[in-house]
Amino acid sequence: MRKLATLLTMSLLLSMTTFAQTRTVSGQIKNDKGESVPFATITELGTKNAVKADANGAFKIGVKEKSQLSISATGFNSRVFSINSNNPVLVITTKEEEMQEVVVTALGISKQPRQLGYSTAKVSGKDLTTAKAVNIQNGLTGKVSGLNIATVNNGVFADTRITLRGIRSLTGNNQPLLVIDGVPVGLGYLNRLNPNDVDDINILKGASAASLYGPDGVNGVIIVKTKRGTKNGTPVVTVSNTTQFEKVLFLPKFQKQFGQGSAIDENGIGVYDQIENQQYGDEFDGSERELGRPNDKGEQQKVPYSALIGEKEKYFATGITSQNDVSISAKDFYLSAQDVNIAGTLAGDKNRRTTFSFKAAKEYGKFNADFTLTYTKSQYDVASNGAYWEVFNTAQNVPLTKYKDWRNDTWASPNHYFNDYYTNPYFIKDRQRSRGTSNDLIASTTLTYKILPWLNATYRAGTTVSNSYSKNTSEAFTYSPYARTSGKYNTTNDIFASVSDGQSASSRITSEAFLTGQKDFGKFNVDGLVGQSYRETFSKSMGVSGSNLIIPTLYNLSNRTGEPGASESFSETKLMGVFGKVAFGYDNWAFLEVTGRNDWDSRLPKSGQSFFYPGASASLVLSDAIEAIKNSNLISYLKLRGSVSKSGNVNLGAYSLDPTYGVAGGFPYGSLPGFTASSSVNNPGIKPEFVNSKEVGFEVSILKNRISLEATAYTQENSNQILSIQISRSTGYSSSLVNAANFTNKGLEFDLKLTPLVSLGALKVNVKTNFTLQDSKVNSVYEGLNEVGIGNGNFAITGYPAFMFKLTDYKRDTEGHVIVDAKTGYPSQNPTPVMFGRTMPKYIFGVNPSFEYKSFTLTVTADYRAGHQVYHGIGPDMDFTGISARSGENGRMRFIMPNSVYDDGTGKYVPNTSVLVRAGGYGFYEATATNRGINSNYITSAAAWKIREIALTYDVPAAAMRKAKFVKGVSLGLVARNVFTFLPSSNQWTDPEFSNTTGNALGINSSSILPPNRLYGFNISTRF
Amino acid sequence: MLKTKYLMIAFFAGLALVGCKKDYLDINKNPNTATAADITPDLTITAQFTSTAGRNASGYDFLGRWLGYWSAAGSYSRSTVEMSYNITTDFGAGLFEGPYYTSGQYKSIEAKSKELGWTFYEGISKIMGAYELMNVVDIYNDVPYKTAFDLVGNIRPSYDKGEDVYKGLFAQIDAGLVLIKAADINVNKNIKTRDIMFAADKVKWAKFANTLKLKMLIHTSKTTTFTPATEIAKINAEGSGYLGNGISANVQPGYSADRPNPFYSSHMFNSITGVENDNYNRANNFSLNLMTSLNDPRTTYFYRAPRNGGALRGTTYGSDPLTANSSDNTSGVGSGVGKSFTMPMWVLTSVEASFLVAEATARGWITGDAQTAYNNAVTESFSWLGVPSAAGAASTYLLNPNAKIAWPTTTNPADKIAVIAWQKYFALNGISMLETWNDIRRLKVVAPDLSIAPERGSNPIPSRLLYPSSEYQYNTASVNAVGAINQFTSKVFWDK
Repeated sequence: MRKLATLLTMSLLLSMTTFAQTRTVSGQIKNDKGESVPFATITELGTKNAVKADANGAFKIGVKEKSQLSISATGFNSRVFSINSNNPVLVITTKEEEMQEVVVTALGISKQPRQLGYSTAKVSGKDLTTAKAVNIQNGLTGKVSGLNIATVNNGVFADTRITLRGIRSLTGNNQPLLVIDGVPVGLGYLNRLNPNDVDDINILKGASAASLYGPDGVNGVIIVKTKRGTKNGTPVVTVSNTTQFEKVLFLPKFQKQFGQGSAIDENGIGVYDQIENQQYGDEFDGSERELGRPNDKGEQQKVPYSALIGEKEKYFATGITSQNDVSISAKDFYLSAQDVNIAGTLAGDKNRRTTFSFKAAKEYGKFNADFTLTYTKSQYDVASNGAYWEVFNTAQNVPLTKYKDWRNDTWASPNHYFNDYYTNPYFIKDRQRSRGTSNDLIASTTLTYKILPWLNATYRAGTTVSNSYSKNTSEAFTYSPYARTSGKYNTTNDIFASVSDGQSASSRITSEAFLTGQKDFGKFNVDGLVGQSYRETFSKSMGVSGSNLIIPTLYNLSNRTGEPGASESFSETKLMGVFGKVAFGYDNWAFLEVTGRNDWDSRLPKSGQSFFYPGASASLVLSDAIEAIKNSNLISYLKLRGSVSKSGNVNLGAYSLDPTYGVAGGFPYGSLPGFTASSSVNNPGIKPEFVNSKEVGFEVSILKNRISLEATAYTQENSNQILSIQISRSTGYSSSLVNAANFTNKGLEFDLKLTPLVSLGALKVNVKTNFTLQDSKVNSVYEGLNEVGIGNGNFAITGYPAFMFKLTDYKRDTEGHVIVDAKTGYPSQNPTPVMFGRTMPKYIFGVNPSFEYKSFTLTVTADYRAGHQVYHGIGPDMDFTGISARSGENGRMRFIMPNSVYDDGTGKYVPNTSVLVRAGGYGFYEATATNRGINSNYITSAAAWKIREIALTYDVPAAAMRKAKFVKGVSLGLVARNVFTFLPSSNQWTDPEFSNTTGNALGINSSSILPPNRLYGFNISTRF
Repeated sequence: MLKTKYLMIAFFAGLALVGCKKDYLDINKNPNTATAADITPDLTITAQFTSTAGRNASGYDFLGRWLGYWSAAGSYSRSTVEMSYNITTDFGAGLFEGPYYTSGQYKSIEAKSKELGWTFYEGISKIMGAYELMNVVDIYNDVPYKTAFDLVGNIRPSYDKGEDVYKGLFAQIDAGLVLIKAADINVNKNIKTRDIMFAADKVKWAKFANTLKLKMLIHTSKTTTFTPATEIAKINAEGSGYLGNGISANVQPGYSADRPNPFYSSHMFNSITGVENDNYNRANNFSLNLMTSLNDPRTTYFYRAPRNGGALRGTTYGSDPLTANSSDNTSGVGSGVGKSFTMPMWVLTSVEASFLVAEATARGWITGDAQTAYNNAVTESFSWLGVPSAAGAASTYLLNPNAKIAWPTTTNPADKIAVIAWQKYFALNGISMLETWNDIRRLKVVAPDLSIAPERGSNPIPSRLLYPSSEYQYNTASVNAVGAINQFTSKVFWDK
C-alpha cells in the first residue's frame, strides 16, 4: 500500500500549482473506529513541512492554499487528504498485516511499540482460538519466543507449566503473573477464562517490562485484554459450537512375544503362570490356555496364548469435548456464555466448565467507568487412580477390555479376576472417584478521571474469589465365601469404604491508584506516572476424612468407624507498593524511561519489610532518526532497544519466619500431647531476593513489512535466592531457609514474520517463526555447598545450568564401560548418583505457517524443543511387569551386557566378550540391582517435534448468505490438536513434556500419567 | 481549576490514609502451627519417646531378613538390592537421618529444660539422645558428634571416631543420670505423665542408664575403649542395677485401636478391620527350621500360622517368588512379639538386658554365677513372649543337650559366650535386630544363611551401612575425610 501511496504522491506532485497562500489547519487524526491516533506524522505533500500529532491525535499545521496533507502513522496505512475545512477529522485505517500496534504495558497503559525499551509479544484472540483450544495456554503454545508452555499431563485437566525466559528462582515460583483487564490474578485463572472472550494477549517477557507490577511481575506478565462492546453500536450476536474428539496418540512400546509368568525352568525358559501379573512367561504359541482360577461354578476361563494387538489402546475411550458459546456485543457492552463439556479418554472421567462474562463501560464527560465480571463454575468427576499401572500388569494375551463389567461379569469380578496380585483396572477406576466443584469470580472496576487535558487519575480495584469443595470416595468390596477360600491372593482381606471431604476458599484483592500525566515541550515529550497499590491474598482450606465406613455405600463422615482425620490451613499475605515512572521522548524516535518501586511485604521480618528497586529502558527508532534509513526502500522500520532493571521478589509463603512445631504422628493419644519441630527450619532474618535484568534487542521490518524480525538478548542475575537448602542431617535438621545461591539466566529470542511469504494470486502464505535459546549457570550455592537438590533428581550444581539430572547409574570404569561381575555377568549400581543432562529445554523453535485461499484459511502450529533430557518413571514400571519392548529385546535369553568390562582378578578391567548375564529375562530386567534401579536405563533425550495445531477455516462468502439477511457471517472449521509427535528412537515411552509436577523440578514422568492424546473436531460459528 | 485541585488533594489523601495504618502488614503470626515460642519440653518429649521406640518397630526390618529371622513372602518379586547386599548410599538412610533428627530434638529439649531449670527433662534428653547415637555408631562407626546439632554455628559437622563418640555418650549418660537423680519432680512440669517410659521413676531411669552403659561395654568387649571393671564398679556404686526381671524400657503413650502400637500396625493386623497389614515379612527358613528342630516352644510366639492354615511355613531369603510361598501360605510375625495393638513399644527389653548381664557375668565383669544369669535370661525370653508357665517351659527347654542350648561343661569362657550368643539370637527375633547384628559382627558365633539371590555373587552380609547420600551431597568434605567406605570391608571400631 505504501508503494501505491508514493506513486500517488509523485503524480500529484507533478500536477501541483506552485503559487499559493498560507493558511493554518488544525485537525484530528482518528482511526476507522473513531479512536484518536496519537503521534501521526502530518506532512504537507511535496514539502519538508511536517508536524506530529499529539497524544490525542490533534495537530496544527500551516500549509499553502490547496495543498494536500499526507498522514502517516506506524501501524496505519498512509493516506493523502485534500483539505477542505480548517478543522478536518482525518481518518486513517489500520494496516491489515501490521507489525506495529498499540501494546498494553504494565498497569494497563497503552504504548506505541516504538516507545518500549523492552521486548513484548502480542497474540491476537483470533490466533489464540484458531484450533479451538479449550484453554488459553494451549492456544499460546509455540506462538511466542521465550514462552515455554509445557502440558505436563493428560486427562481432563491437562495441567500446564508456563515460564517466560526460563527461571529466576531455584525453588520458588517461576510462573508469570496473569493480568486480566488490568487486574492481577493468580495464573490458575488462565484455565477459567473462555478463550473466545479474549481480544488479545500481550506478553511482557522480562522483569523490566513488568517492574511496575512489583514482585509479582518478576517472572513476566501475561496481560489478557478481553473483548469489550463494539464501538459503533450495532449489536452482534455470535453463536458457535466446537466438538472435538480425543484419542490416544501413542502408547509406550510393548513386547508382543511373552505372556504371564515370573519364574524360569531349568533351561532358563519362562514358565507360564495363569494367575500372574508379570509377563516373563514362555513365548506365545497360539495354544488355548487356562487363565486365572476357576470361578464359584467350577468354570475355567481359557484364552488363546497369543498377543492381542491393540487391546491396551482399547482400554482408553474416545474422549469428547463440546464447547458451546454465545456472545452478544453492543455499544460498550459485552456478554458471553460458554459451556465446555469434557469427557476424557478414561471412560467416566468428566470435567465441565461454564463461564459467564459481562463487560460494560460508560463515559460521562471527563469521567470514565469500566466494569467486568466473570463467573466460572467447574465440575469434575474423575477416577482418583487411572489404573494405568494395572493395565501394564495385564499380559498381552489377556482380553483386558472384556472385564469392564466387574459388578456382574464373573471373570471381571474381583472374586474371580484372573490376576492374583493386581486388581482389575476397571474396578480400580470405578471404585475410587474424586468429585469436585469450584466457583470462581473475577470482578474489576476501573475509574478514570481526566483532571486536566494532560493529567489523568485512575483507580482500579479487582478481586478474584474462589470456593471449591471436593469429595473423594472409595467403594467397599466384600469377597464371596468362595473367593475367600479359593486361595486367590489377599481375598480374605475385604476392602472397606472410605471418604474424604475437602473445602477451600481463597481470594485476592488488588487495588491500584495512579496519576498519569503527559506533556509536550516542543519536540520533547514527557510522560510520568506515580501511584500506589495494595494486594491482599487469603486462603483457607479444611479437610476431613473417615475410613472403614459402616454402611458401605453411604459416603458420609458420620458413617465412619474410628477417629476422623482432620486438617486445616490458613494463609494471609499483604503487599503494599508505591511506584513511579518518568518517560522522555524526543521527536518520536528517541525514548527513555526510568522506573522505581518500593514494596512492603507482610511475609518479611518486621525490620526488613521494605525494599526498593529501580529500572531504566530506552529505545531508538533509527528508521525515523536517520534520513538514509527513512528513505530506504529496503528498511521500513528499524528500532534498537535496551533496558536495565532490578526487581525484588519474596518467594516465601506466609508464616515462614519462625521455626514451626507440628503435631507428631499418632498424637494426641487421648489427652497426651506430642509436638515435634519441623525438620525444615525457617529463618527469622530472611531478606527479599533480587533479579538484575539486562536486555538489548532490535526490531526491523524490511520490504514494506513483508519481513519483520525481532531479536532480543538478555541476562538475569538472580541473587540472594530465598532457598531451603538441604543440610547435613547431623545438624538435627534436614533443611534450612536461607538467602543463598546466585545464578545467571540468559537467552536469545527471535521472532520472524514473513507476510506474505508467497502470494500466488488468491493464495497467500504467511509464516511466523520463533526461536528461543535459553540457558543458565549456577554461580554459587551456599557456604561451601556446591549443589542443592530441589527434588525429582533435579539439582542446581555450581558451574552447571539449573537444573541438571543427578540419578543412579551402573558402576563404570574410567572409560565409561559398565563393570560386570566376572561370574554372574551382572552389572551393579554405582552407590552414588551421577550427573546427567539438563532438565529444561535449551532450544525451542516454533513455526506457524498459514495459508489463505479465497475463503479458506489453513493454519499450523508446530514446535521443536531440545537440549534436555527426560527420565521415564514409567520405564522401570514396565520392566517390572515385563510388558516393555525393552524387556523383550534379548528374547529373554542370556546375553552379554553391552559395552561391559570385568575385573580379570588382578584389578584390571578387560572387555567382556564372553560372560553372559546369569539370567536374561526376569532375573535381569525385573531386578532392581541390575536393571530397574538404574535410572540411566530410562533417561532419554527429551527432544520432540510436535505438530500442535492444524486448523482449517472456511468463511462462508457473503454472497452465499445474501438471502438470510439477519446472518452477518458464518464460519466453519476443522481443527486438530496435538496432531503428531516425533520422538528420537531412544524414547520408547511417552511424551517427554509430561512431568509428575508443574513445579520447578521437571523431567520425570510416571505411570500415573495417562498416554498422550490427539484431538480433532469441527467448529461452526455464526454471527447475527 | 479549584475543583481539580480538591480532587487531587482528596486522591492523595486517600492514598496516604490507607498506607498509614500502622499495623496493616502485621499479619504474619502463624495461625496453622505452633512456633518455637509456644513450645516447652513437656509438649515435645512425648513425641521423641515414640519416635525413638518407633524405630524398633519397623526401622530394622531389613536386618531381620539379612540375619535369618524374616524373609520375603513368595507373592513379591525379589528385592535385588537388599538381597544382593550390593547396597547403595540411600539404603537404610533413615537409620542415619532418623536418629539424628530425634537426637536433635532431644538436644533442643535439653537446652530449653536447662533454661527452665527442668532438670528431669534435661537428664532424660541426655540419656535418650545417647541411646539414639549409640545405635548410629553401631551402624556407621565414625559419625558427627562433637560439632553436631549446631544449626547456627555449623551446618557441616565433622566426623568423630566411633570410639570417641562412644566415650562421649558414656559421659553423657552419666551426666543425665546425675540430673535425674537430683531433680525435683514438682519443678518439672507434667513429668509424671509426659515421661511415657518410666513415669518419672528415678530408679528405673537409673536401671536404664546402667543397662545402656553395660550394652556399650559389651559391644566394645574386643577393644580397650573402656575398662569394664572400673565402669561396672561405678554402676555398682550407683546401686540401682539393670533392667530385667520383668522391667523393660517401654514407651506407652496410650496405644489404642485408632492409634495402634507401631509394631502391631507394621507387622500384624489392622487394629480396626483385622486385615493383615504385613504381607511381606515371613518366617525365614533359617530360624524357623533351627527352632523347630530344637523343639523350641517359642517358635509359635515368634511366628504365626499361615492365613490359609496349616503348619508354620517359612521362605528362603533371596529365593524367586513362588505361589506356594505366597503371603497367605506362609507365616508372618507371631503374637508373642506383636501381642496387641495396645501393647507398649519397647526401647530396650528386659530380655536383651538379661542377656547383656549374662554375657558380662560370663566375662567375669559382673560377679555372680554365669549359668544362673544365662538361665535367667532364657526364662526372661519365655515370660516376655507370654509362653504359659514360662519358668517351667524354659527349664524344660534348657535341658536340651544341644550345644546351642545347654550350658557348656567346659570352663572356656568362649563356649559360654557362644551359647549365650545363640540364645540371645533366638530371643531377640523381631525384637532387637540391631543388637543381633552387633553380636553377629562382634562374636561371629551365629552365621545366618546367606541370600540365595544370584545377584549376591560371593558377597557376605554387610558389616555396616554406607553413609547416606545426603551426607555426600551436603556434608561432602567432612564425610570424605573419613575415607572411602565399603560395606563389606569397612568395619565398626568394635568389630574385630
